[in-house]
Amino acid sequence: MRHCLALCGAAALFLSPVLGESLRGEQQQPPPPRPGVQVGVPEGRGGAPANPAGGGRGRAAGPPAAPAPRNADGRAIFWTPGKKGVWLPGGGGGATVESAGIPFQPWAKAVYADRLENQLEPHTRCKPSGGVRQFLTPYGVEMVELPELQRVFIFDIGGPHTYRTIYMDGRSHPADFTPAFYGHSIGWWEGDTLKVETTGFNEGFWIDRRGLPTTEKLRTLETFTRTDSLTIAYELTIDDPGAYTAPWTTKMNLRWEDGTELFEYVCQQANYAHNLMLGAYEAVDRTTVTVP
Amino acid sequence: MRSLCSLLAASLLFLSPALVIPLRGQQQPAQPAPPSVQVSVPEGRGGGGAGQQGDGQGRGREAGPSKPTPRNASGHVLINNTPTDKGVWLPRGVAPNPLGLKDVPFQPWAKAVLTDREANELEPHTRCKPSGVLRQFLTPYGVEFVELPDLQRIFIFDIGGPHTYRTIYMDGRAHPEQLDPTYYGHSIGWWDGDTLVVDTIGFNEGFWMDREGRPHTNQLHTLEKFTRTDFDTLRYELTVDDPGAYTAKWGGATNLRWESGTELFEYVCQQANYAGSLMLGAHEAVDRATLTVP
Repeated sequence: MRHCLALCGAAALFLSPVLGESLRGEQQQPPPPRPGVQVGVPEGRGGAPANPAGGGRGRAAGPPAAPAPRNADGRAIFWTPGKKGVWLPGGGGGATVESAGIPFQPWAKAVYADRLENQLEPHTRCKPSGGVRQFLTPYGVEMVELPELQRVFIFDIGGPHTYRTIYMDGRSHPADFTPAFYGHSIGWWEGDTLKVETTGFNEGFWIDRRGLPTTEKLRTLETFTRTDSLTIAYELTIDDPGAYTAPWTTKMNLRWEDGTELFEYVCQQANYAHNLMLGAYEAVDRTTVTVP
Repeated sequence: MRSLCSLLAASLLFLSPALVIPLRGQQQPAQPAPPSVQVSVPEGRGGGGAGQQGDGQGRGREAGPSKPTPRNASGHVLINNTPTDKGVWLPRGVAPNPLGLKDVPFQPWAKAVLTDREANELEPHTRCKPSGVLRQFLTPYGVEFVELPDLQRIFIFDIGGPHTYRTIYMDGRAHPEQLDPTYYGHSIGWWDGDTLVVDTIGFNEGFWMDREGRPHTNQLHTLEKFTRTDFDTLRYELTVDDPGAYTAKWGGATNLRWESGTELFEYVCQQANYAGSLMLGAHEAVDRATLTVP
């Protein structure tokens, strides 16, 4: 009985990102009208519409943005001394991409169209999902820089509650890297901007919430710039000659959610899409390119 | 087709811990015969042979005297990587009962649950659930500790299992009065000389805290001590206090060993885990209404 209670409680807490949002969303103000094109940001706690001030839905108008905090060398940093917080998807307009402007190859366009109809996203089956998708969970991320170890970690709360490593030690991409959900990331600073180049992606995830396909030829360039205390400007360039006819770029803002710390969310607990993990779900043909 | 190929490749890589290990194990020296009972560490890259009890030595590494415990400029013991020394901490070997436990003071129901679990090895960890306490340190791939003095936290990064992380708060906070029970619980830590001491409560009951299946309840309260006794050895001492399952406190100790040169790599249990149907009890042969199958 004790156990059953624990399971039930866990089920209520961990159902799925989407359900989790609505549970949490109940504590929030009513959502504003949905933006017309939603590539990036989910509804709910983290899914704020564009707000140039960096303010998000469900948050009382907080203090105005202050200048970005800086380290002793004068360079902007991702944490805020004396404060706790995480980075949520925060609008800024760029999270929405007009699909008409994306240079799809024909097959990629067809896959994308299929995925829009059949929303069987690997992320809902607890798979890490790279690119902009990492930043589009309702719970946010924390970015931690370790200057001595020459690494940056990005901690996910939502999804599979995992972490991503960005090597800052000047290494190159390895020649024989096993394709991974988050790929192999190397980064460097240019002024206040962290630049991250990633290769070595597998094809088992969607790079956004709507289903943009990618191949193992994918190479991304991401830039993270803390423009003020409440905002990281995020820009993603997708260079994938396997799926697109030219490199293309999108951008969005992450916004500081003051006071939130990393907490344990475990997608694998009571995830009702578990039977999709291996294709056991009879209605889904997992031999197609549209259902990784 | 492309996706299919990548699926196949991913399947090969991520099938399950048990299947992955032989692939990686091919790069290792000839392996000793597996012990007849394999409860603790799987064979393979991380699983040192039996008979390495407590010496901190692992397979695939030249035996020899260890270097002294590394310290920072102020003399503080380092349990994390340094710019010159990269590595992870692995369990000592494949021997069962790594803590050397005898006479654990089970309550009768807890003893019965353990007996059942020994017969039915349906461990939540194989279903990609984080598993706290000793179990976190018993994967074949190891963990990395990262201490962040500025942020007053220590992170423990898992490679195996669900490839997640655990936070230990070092900022002097107390445990909150209201906690949602979690797999890793709520951990607060402090340094006592050269020993990192970690006090944890707030566990859920959805995991096994060791590989054998000793049960616990949400009354579980653990005290863990981590002491880097030399360069290659991290002494792990555990005290279990759970009045819901045991009649007294109990505990033991084991060593983790430094695996030099290994960095965190992406292992994702959820990819092609063939125990997926067990996650929610869809497997018809398993009665998940029992205490023994979380």
